Amino acid sequence: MTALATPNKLVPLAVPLGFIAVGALELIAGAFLLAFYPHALQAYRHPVLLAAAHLLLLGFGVGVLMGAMHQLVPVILEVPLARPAWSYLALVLWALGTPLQAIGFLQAQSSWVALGGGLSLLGILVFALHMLFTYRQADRWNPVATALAWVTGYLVLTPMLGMLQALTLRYGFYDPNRLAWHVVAGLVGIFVLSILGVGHKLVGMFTLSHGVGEKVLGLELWALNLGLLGLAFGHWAGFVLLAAGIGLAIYDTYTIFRHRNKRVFDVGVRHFMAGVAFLLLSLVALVLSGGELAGLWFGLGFVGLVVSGMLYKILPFLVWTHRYAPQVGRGKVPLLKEMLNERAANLAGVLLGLGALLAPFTPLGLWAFALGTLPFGYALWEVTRQ
Amino acid sequence: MKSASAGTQMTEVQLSAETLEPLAWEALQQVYDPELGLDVVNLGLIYQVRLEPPQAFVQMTLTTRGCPLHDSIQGAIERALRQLPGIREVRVELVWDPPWNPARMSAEARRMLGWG
Repeated sequence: MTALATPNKLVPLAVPLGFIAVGALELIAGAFLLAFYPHALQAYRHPVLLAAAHLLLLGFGVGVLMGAMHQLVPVILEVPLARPAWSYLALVLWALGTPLQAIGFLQAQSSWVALGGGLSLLGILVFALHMLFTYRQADRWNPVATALAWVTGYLVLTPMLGMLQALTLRYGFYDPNRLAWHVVAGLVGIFVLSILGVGHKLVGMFTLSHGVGEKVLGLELWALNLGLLGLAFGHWAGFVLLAAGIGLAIYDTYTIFRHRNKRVFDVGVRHFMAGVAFLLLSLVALVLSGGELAGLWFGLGFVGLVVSGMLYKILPFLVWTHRYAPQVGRGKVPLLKEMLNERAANLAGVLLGLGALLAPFTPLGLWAFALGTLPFGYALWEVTRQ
Repeated sequence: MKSASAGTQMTEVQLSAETLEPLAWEALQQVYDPELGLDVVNLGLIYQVRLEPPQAFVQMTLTTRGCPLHDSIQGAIERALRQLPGIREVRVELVWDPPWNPARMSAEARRMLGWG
């Protein structure tokens, strides 16, 4: 089967849906902030850039990840969630914290940033503890689960480094390297590991890929984690290992596609492919040009496209599982692709992709990306109305 | 006399099962994978169907391990087979040996997946 969830191993639909809905709204807010204030890109500590980056990454990226992990972890480990009630607490804390933090950045109110960041961190800690209890129930382990366990660790480490950085800015012992660790742990530790690790399982299921082993994924995890360690110590080998890990991930993705049994790539998988292309682009840009170009292609292109594409698969399945699964075998129920407004999803994909590509060069790119978030939000909304 | 009666009953059960079997496979074709739009029969997930009214037994697999749609599919198979006359109890067994492979799919399934 190619599915992601089952009712008896899930928290109620409201939890993942809550994470996804708040995350999507934060994506729209962050994208329009950048479109209205393109000059914010010129300084990496510009309040609008800080607000938008946290809305896009901590809000949208991490929110969707946490929502999706409520589905994925039971699937991958074949165990139910350990403490489903904790999910509500994590959702509320994170959903209050992330917008408050962004407003704090915009208003230059450090106390709001600290409060918002603190609430988000608390929400993530509750989530991580919940996942830890769930991991401990597992009898069988595999590299995808290892990727998720690493991601959980980086989910905790990244905001802690951010909070520490904010506190030292005010009270002393500020270290610019710590900001780099915060960024790298977040971008690589959370997003590269989760997208490529979980992508191995998800894309394999969505394309009905068969006969692809997990050895390359295991190697990829070693390379990426050791690469992060190398970067933390400022060693050049860290970057080489990161590049090797990404190379392995791209080879793994290619192998999955080559062994697929579903010939046509649907809209969600096409988004994933475009997103991985942006990951490669951002790696090249990092070598040739520097951080700004690479960061925009990574954040808007890689994270934006992959996460939106995976949502086109995950959200219909979530809704289907809760609303239609009990009717299968009795009568006709919709297929997942019938629940998604594919025209809106395709339009969003073109605008998001084009926008991400052009964003480093022209404000029009930022506008295209921002406008792309609207059909994206509409497509998700339509799924929930089914 | 006693053994003749038992023999007659057995024949009735066998006939009944034989009549039901095509209906059972037809009912299983109503159980779809929502992602692929293919039913469990054409996907090659059903290894065995045994009908002994009022009981039915299905042995099946899934395309990948750790797919919890198992519970949804199990429920769907139970509902589909319970609609058959005389079937009141359905048991579904999930096995991983032999593992599923694409060669188990029907020609129709391969065509629907875009190969042909």
